[in-house]
Amino acid sequence: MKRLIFGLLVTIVWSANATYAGDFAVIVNKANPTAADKAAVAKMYTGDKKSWEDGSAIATVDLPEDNAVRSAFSTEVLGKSVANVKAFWAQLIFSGKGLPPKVLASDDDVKKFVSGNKGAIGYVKASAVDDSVKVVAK
Amino acid sequence: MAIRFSGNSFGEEIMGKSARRSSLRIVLGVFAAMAAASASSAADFDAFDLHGYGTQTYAQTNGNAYIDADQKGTWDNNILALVGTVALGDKTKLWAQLETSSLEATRFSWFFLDFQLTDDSTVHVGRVKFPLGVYNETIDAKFLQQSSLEPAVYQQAADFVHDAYTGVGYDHVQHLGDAGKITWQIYGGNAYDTDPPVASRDRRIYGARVTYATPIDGLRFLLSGYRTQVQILATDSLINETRWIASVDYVNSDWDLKSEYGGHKFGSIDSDAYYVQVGRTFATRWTVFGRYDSVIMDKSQTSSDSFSQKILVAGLNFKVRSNVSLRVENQFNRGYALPVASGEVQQGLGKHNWNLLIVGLHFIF
Repeated sequence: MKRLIFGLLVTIVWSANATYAGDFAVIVNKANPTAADKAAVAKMYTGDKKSWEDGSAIATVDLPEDNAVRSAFSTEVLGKSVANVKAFWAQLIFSGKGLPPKVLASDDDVKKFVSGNKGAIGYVKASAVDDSVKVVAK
Repeated sequence: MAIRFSGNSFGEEIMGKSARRSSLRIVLGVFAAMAAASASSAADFDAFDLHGYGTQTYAQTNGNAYIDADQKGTWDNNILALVGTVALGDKTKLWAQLETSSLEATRFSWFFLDFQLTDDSTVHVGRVKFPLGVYNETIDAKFLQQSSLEPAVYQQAADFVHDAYTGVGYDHVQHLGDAGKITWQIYGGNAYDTDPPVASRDRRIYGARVTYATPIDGLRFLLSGYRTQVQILATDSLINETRWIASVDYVNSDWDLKSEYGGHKFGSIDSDAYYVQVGRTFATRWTVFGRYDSVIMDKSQTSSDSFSQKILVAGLNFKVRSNVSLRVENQFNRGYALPVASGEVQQGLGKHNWNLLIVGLHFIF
C-alpha cells in the first residue's frame, strides 16, 4: 500500500513537472544560427540583451497577458508574474528607457512573425511548434 | 509633472484655451506624421509605438490651501500624457512625451533622440527628464507610484528637482556577473522648466546617476545629483546650486519599499528632505501603503513651521484592472513649509496641524 501511494505521488510529481516543462517552446527564425539558454532569453525579454551576435536587432514578441503560455513563460524564464513584468516595462516606457515586446494574439501569429523576421524570437505552446521555426529552448 | 503651485496662471496667461487646442491639434498632427514616417521605415516590424497615462485626482485640505486649491481647500487635477516612439533604424529611436493637464499648458515633457551604441551604451540628445532618484522621470505617471501626491523631495515647491534638461546624456550598463549590475548615467546641458523663474536663469547643468542593481531581485541603490550655476538677472551674479538624492528601492511581487534622502544647497541656504514608504499588496489588487515624509526648507530654521513640514501618509489602492487603479489617501501634516515655499501661505500664518485627503483614478496604456 505504501509503495502504491509512493508510486502515485512520484507519478503525479513527474507528470506535473513534465507538463510544466513542456508547456512552451522558445522559437527563432530558421535562418538564425544562435543557440540560447534560459538566462539569455530572459535578458532578451528584459531589454538587457538587444542584439544578436551578428549585431542585428533582437525583436521579442509576447502572447496576450491572459494567455496561460505567457504566464508559464513569465514565471519559468523571467522568474516573475505577468503583472510584475508589465510593471517593470511600464517604468521603462514612461522614463524613455525601453519598449516591451510586441504582443501578438496567438501561437500562429507568433510563428508567422518569427518565421518572417530573421531577428525575431518568441514562444508558443510546445505542441504548436512546426517546421516553419526553430526551437532554441524548452 | 509634479503637482503645480502658483505660476499655473503664468501658463494660462501665455496660452489661452483656444491656443491650447490649436497646439494640441498641431502636436497630434506631429504624432500622426511620425506614425506615417514609420510606415515607410525599412524596419522589419512595427516602428511606431504609442503609450500613455492619465490621472484624475481630487483633493480636500482643512488648512493651508495650496497646490492651487480654491478657497474651500479643494482642488482637482487631470493629467493625460502620450508617449510616442518612432524607430528610425535598428539602433535609433525618437521619443516624445506630450502632456496636458488642467493646471498647465500642453507641452512636450521630453523629446529626444536615442542612439544605441552597443547593448550596454546609449546616448540621448534633446530634452530629457532628469535622471534623479527613483521617481523624477515618471513623476506624473501616478499609476506607477504608491501615492497620488509625490514625496516632498519631488514636489515643485521644495525645488529639489527640475523637470528636464536639454542637452546630451550617456548611459552605460556595467555587468558584474553574479554581483548584479551598475548603470552609469552622465549628462549636461541647460535646465528646462514648465514654470521657469523670472528673476534668474540656470546655466551649464551637469549631473550623474549611479544605480546598483543588486543580486537580490528587486533591490537597488541609487545615487544621483546635479550641479548648476544660477544667474541672478537683477545683479548679474552667479550662485552655485547643487542637488542630490540617495535612494534605496525594493520591489517584489507583494512589497514595494522605498526610501530617499535628498539635499539641496543654493548659495548659503541648505535644505534637505527624506521619506520612508512602504506598500504591501494583498490578493493582487489591494495595496495598503504608508509614508513618513520630512522636508526642511532651511536648515538654519528647523524649528519654524514655515520652513519645516512632516507628513504622514496612509492610503489604499485598488486595481480595478491591471492598468487602472483607484486610490484614496490621507496626508497628516505638521508644519507648512511647502505652502510657504510655493508662495500660497505667508510665513508664520499657516495652520500647524492640517490634513489633505486625496482621491485619485490612475491608468496607463
